[in-house]
Amino acid sequence: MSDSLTISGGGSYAVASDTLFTDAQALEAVRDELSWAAAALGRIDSLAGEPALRGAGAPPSAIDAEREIARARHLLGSLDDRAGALAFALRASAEGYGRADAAARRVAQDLAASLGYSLGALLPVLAAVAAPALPPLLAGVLVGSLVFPDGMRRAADGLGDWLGSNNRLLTNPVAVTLIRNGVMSIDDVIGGALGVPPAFVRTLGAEGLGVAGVASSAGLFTALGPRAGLLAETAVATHPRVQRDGGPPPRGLAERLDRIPQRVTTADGEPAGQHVRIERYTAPGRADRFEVYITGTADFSPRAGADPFDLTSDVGTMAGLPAGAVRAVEQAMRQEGITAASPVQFTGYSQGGLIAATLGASGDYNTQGVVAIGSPTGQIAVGGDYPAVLLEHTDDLVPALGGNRSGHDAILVEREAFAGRETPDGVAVPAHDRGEYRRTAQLADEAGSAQLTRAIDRLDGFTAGMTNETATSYVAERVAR
Amino acid sequence: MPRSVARASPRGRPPGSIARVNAEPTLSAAIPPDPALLAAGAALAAQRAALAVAAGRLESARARVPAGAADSWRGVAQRAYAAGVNDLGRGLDEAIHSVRLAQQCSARAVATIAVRMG
Repeated sequence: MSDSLTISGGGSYAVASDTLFTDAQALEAVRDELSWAAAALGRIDSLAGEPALRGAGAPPSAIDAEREIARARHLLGSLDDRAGALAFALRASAEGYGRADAAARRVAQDLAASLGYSLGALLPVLAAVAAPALPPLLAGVLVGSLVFPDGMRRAADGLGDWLGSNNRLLTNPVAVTLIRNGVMSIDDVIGGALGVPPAFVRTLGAEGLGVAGVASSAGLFTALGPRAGLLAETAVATHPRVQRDGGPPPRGLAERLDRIPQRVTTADGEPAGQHVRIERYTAPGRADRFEVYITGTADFSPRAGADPFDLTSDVGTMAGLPAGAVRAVEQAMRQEGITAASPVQFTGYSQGGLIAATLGASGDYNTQGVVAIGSPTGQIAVGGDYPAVLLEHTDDLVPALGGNRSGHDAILVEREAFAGRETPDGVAVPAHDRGEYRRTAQLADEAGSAQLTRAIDRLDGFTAGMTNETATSYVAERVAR
Repeated sequence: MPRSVARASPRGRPPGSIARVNAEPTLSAAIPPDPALLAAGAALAAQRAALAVAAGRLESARARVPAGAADSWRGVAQRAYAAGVNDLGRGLDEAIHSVRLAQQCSARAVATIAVRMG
């Protein structure tokens, strides 16, 4: 298992492994100690100088001591510089790597945009070529669905089974990078298909003004989908289900991940578990504080069902729209008494992390921290005034669906979950597994990089000196308009 | 002026080892207290204590020097970094050795002066 973490962000371009950042910090600490020791030896030397000792008739060992002190001072002088130079070299390499990586991403994005535009421009031609084959194909699908009513679902299940058996195709950093660039180019494909001049598409896109991009593409799907009965939004209702007396506050990222609720379907097809958990912290004379934990996608069907934590909400949230799952969390927060002034931290896994980042960055709340785990948050500028930590696997395609990272304030912790080991059979996207992210969260908790440990300390400090009064879990459902 | 007849070399001990502090043998026995020697003895005692603190800080700094085997990079840059870190560690070992020797010599000198002062 690869336990190596790559850390970036925190307001810096630097990208490096946790080990490299920790080494740089250690060398800076050594340099500081050497500077202190050199100054201390200078003061010690002035206590009893060699001429004074000789004049006083001190024994030869006193003179030997002076010579050893002089030798140590000489050594420390050069060592001080050497430790500083090594630390600087490490920091510079991390900064240089980060800038080169950012430049490479820009080039890849430009290339993907050009390819996307060309592909879009060819789509009408391809459609014209394929048009004669479409009627018999559609007729076949229609007949098939009449003869085998369950056929579409079986086909989807079959695709899932095939991906589960061939999950290495998607579980690798190369495929994930291609997906990320593909997502960033959807607006270019659409522009090409509509015949919009390439310069105009480029100017509006992420490579230019950023007006068109992942959000506008998702918005287009959300606008067009309902015409085919897909991605149609509904009203939602949220109900408190379980309330317990609060326990100790969370410490670190792994404990936060453990508190995120899970909504699952049981063997008999019934939903179980909750969507949102809200912990209330109190202290005399202080405003109540809240930790909000949000679950991931429970229903991957493009047709909205009863569960609002579905694909419809995924696409809607990425479009920046008030998707059903976002409204469900807001309803739960209102029922908990959270106002715009209430200090609140958001933690979420997968879609829950996307919602956590969206609400945290919305400006509608007094956000004091965001933790998003395995979430497509690339285009959301989160962090800055408050600590924000994003955990992503470089071989997990889900975070890639959010496109390239647009901000540098959040601390991004990355790990290749399946580097150098086999993927489990039968799991379509194993790198998105919650257990794998728990391992990453544990490693992040144990990491030595100062920017990460500071962020985790700030997250933990949010509830310092307060009592966890209650932990309330909520369940949401879609309701007819 | 009293002179020692034998002098132990400060070298030849492993780094970090502390020799037993013995007064150096002298030709003459106790002589009347010399204010300059008295002051030198006090300065050397303070020096010995300060050196002990400095040696402790340097040893803790030595423990913080990275191993130089960064896991995520390889090649020429990694080898240069590893060599630099090794050099730093070796140099720090020498500096600690010198400070410890200076501490031992100071202690020895203090003991010798105490003997001379009777």
